[in-house]
Amino acid sequence: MTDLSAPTVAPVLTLENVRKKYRGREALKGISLELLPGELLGFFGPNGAGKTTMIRCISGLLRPDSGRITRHPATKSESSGPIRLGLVPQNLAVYPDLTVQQNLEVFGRLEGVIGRQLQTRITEVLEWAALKDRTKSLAKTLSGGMQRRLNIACSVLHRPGILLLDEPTVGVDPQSRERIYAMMEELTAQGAAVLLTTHQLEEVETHCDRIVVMDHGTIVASGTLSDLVQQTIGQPHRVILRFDLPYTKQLAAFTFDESQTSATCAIRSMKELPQVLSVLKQLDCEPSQIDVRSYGLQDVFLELTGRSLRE
Amino acid sequence: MILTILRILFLRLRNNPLELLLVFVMPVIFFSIFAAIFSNGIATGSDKKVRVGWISSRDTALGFQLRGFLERNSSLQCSTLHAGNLAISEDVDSMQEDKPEEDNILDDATMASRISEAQKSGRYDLIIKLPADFPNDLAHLTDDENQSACKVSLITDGQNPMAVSMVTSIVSGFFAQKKATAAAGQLMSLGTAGGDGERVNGFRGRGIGGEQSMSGARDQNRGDRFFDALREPTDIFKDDENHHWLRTDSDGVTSVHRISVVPSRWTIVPMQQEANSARSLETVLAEQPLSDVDDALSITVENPQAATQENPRIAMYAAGIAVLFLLFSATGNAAALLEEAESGTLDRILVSQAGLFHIVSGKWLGILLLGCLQITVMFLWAEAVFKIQLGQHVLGFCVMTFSTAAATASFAMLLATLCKSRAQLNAVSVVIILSMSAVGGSMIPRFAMSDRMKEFGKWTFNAWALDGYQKVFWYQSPVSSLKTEVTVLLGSALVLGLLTLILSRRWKRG
Repeated sequence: MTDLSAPTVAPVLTLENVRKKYRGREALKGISLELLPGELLGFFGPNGAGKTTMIRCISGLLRPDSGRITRHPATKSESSGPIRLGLVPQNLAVYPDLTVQQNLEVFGRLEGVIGRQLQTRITEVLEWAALKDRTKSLAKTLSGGMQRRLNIACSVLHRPGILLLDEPTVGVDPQSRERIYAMMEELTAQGAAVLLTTHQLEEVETHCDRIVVMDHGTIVASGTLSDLVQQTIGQPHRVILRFDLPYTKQLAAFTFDESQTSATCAIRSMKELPQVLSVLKQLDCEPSQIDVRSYGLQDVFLELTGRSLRE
Repeated sequence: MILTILRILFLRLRNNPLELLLVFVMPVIFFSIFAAIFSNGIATGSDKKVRVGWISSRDTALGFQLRGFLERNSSLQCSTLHAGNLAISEDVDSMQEDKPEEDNILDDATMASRISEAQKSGRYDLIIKLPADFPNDLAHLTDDENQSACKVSLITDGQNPMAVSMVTSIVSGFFAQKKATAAAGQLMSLGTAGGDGERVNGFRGRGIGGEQSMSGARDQNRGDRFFDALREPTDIFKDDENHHWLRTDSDGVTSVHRISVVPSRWTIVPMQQEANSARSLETVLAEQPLSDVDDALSITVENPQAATQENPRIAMYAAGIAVLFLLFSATGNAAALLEEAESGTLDRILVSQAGLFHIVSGKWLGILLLGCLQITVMFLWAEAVFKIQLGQHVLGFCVMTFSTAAATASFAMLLATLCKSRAQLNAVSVVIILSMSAVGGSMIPRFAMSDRMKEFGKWTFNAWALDGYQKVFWYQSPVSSLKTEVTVLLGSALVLGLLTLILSRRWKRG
């Protein structure tokens, strides 16, 4: 079981030691998680890690074998029931033969939004998803990016407190991707909690408030990017010195390889780099090349999950 | 390159069991179905015969003989709707002195009722009805001035026109044979009386066309009696222009002379006719086919349905085609469930306020309504163009349409629930629907099928639906008569619907 650091605000969703066997194997092995309001949580993991099973359990499509999934009321005073949930499946889960407007209408109605409220929400959502000019277009005639935005728009008509997105930016161009994240940031700004799965490392690094790395049905790490690097690699940057000939002197804080032609030193921030160079100068150390490498989510991910293929 | 393209084609085919099914198994299935229907495949024995029902207002010797003749015919399967109030006796002579007794006569209303019931049972291709004035023997035809012919009615529901032609021919043949037998017996008696067997034989061969008919003359069945009643031959033929070729010798034996000029026709006046010689039974023998139906026989073909309906058969075709396409459109609509599952739309709907029950029920209802509309459009078109008299059968039509559409909707939903993908559903539904339609009567009229095939067809919606529509439009039966069909169809709808609900839980299990 993996525990996340305790959040300071009341979560909208809590998973406690959730276990689920799926198609003969244990897909979830005791997942514990809390999702905070206004948070954009990125789920990251290799194929078959259990991300989709977890989303299906959270959305109620699958019932966990054990453990508990709790959706908390939107406000503490509200006794009307748990916070509402929206699901954006990975595929285009809209009706291609209906227009944008008609798709929004039917999915709004399925969520219990009717009448004038529905029309108001459709207008808002069309504006939000930048589809206002295409209301009469059939969904199948939209571009890939527009279809993705419509896919998301159909899930927010009822103002869900939690939005689950399964790889929402697959196959879209950078502009559409940015627009989609802008939409999600608007949602989180309004207080909604967004949980997404993706394979796009830079998206998670750039947009997500928290990152959860899953592998083999467990959460292997979670937190902000710097937290993850700290937890797995240590320092986020590394200075690498390369020598033409083996360097025989001692260099504090540097670790040499076996051939003594390469030495590395981890630094916490790029601000420490001048200090390192100054020390080298004082020691008359003149490497033939100095590299500085920053560690990202990919390093964390590979560090945590290994390099072997999963499928 | 061409070989590579060819290889791709075959590899794809090999890796796709559904396509293999359609390419190789489907034609075999259809061949088997059609072979079973149109050949002696699984339909063997008597069930390929034309099924003839028999009803007579009263029992007569001639009627009994006709029935026996039909029963001996290998292409007919003859059974009695009603054996008459008198038990049929093997002692034909006991029926010779026939005096119609009022108590033994089945009245027209009862006969009509029994015929109607028999037709609606679907057990007969044709019903032969003999009226109360059907004669006891051929001689009776000349007894009564008002009786001009043996009246035989063939009652058909129009489903099997072949049966009408076949039975008409067989009945005509029976009477032709009877007359030939009678005439031959007459000639035989003339010949043997004259002691000039060779001459008679010569005359016989030319006059009535063959040994087969003459052999009938030796049958002491009816012909003898007919001729027993004759007067002396010379008296019989005294009015005939050819009377001069009959000669009575000194011993009173009449023989035939001048056989080279045997006339083509002559008049036979039975003894009973002596007081009233104006009437005679004219028999055409030589130079005329024996099967010709002359004035002595009147075969009328009746189609009670046609009497009150303009085009009842079209309603059956409309129903057959409508049910076939209803099955296709229903599975097509149910396939949307699989598309939604594949695209994730179903997941999105399941996460919404709509539960699985709502989804399945909503789709079922949609398919049901669409099916009702589809059948209605088909019948409205049939009414507009082919005048099937939909307006007179609205209630029955509505009941049958709703039942059929309900069963079809449940069936389609179950198929969609059982299949894993749209492609699988397409292949499976094509095989099942076309098979059901072939066996159930949407493609081939059920009357053309053997009894066994008809029974097999009862496992399909098509058969029950078509039987129901047949009752409504063809037999014009009341709605209450549809209870079996409606029970089966709605029962199927309920059972298959519940199965669908149970099995549809797999959508939630992913």
